[in-house]
Amino acid sequence: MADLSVSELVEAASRGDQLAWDRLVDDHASLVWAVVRSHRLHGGDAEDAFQSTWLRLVENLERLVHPERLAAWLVTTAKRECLRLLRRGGTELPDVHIADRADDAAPAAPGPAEAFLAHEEQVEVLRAYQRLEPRCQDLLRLTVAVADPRYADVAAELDMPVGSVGPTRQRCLQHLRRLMRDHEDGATDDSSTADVHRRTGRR
Amino acid sequence: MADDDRLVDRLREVIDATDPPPQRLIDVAKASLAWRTVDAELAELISDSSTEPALAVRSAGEAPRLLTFTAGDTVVVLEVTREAGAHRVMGQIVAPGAATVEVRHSDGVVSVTTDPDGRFRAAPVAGGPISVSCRFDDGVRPAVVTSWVSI
Repeated sequence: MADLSVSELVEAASRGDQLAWDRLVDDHASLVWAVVRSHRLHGGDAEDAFQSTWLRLVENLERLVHPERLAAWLVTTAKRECLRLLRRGGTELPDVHIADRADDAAPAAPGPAEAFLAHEEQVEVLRAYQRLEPRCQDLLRLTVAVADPRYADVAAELDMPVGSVGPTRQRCLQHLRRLMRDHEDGATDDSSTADVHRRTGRR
Repeated sequence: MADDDRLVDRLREVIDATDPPPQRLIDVAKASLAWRTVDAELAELISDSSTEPALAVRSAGEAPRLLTFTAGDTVVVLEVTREAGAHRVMGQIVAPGAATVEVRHSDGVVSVTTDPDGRFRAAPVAGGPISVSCRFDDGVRPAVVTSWVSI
């Protein structure tokens, strides 16, 4: 299983091979989730978009024209599912059912997300990341979730020319690094990071 | 650039730790392979009243949502109404034929049979993605399964 290509995994899954399918889900779940989050979907809508994307893949396993480009297909499909939900957003009435399910798909930490981070350096990265402009956050999040160094699928998601993803990513990383440095130079109040260390026992 | 790689690795750890895809959703995604249908034609969604602006405004109250799917000569029309926290799905198959219909949803399956005119009614159906499969009694006409749609 370990040395099968994506196309081989798709082919095996289309024959009903559960292990191959599990592997495809594990390998691409973060990517699909990144697309959902880049559309600012949370709660029941985030859950719907994520779930619908995988169901869409199940119904199309035998029809994929380029199974080796599964990541790009998933990005395009997840994006379409998100847009569909957003388009419906105006007429959606909150109901009990959605409120129930919302808990599962809420951001991981109910309190500060920092409580989940073991190292001070990670906390610095998170704080700087949260101060980046949204487009940089989306781009970085997508690029860290994909294995493809050409970022063709990231470009599709963000409606950017493929050639500009690399340079933009570079610029966003520089910006991230600058925000981290500003933080070091400026506020050296470490009481909050000490607080984080006390809370790291949670995970 | 090694520095960039290192920063990207840190960022990946941070995102994995603070906002990973919820494990419950990953489990549901893995279980969804069970919905694979090998011997049915896929009916694609061709119209959805909730995405038509004029209708969407009018249906802001309790008017049902109309969904139309087609596969070859078969048309499946669904009328989805909210009902006590869940949904009721009324459907019609055109061209009609007696069939066994399964409405597949996030909490299971509602199985019903159509009347001779191809009409059926299924409830309760949970919100979230649903798909409807139709297997015809004549044993000749190919089974049809609708594409998944979120209700």
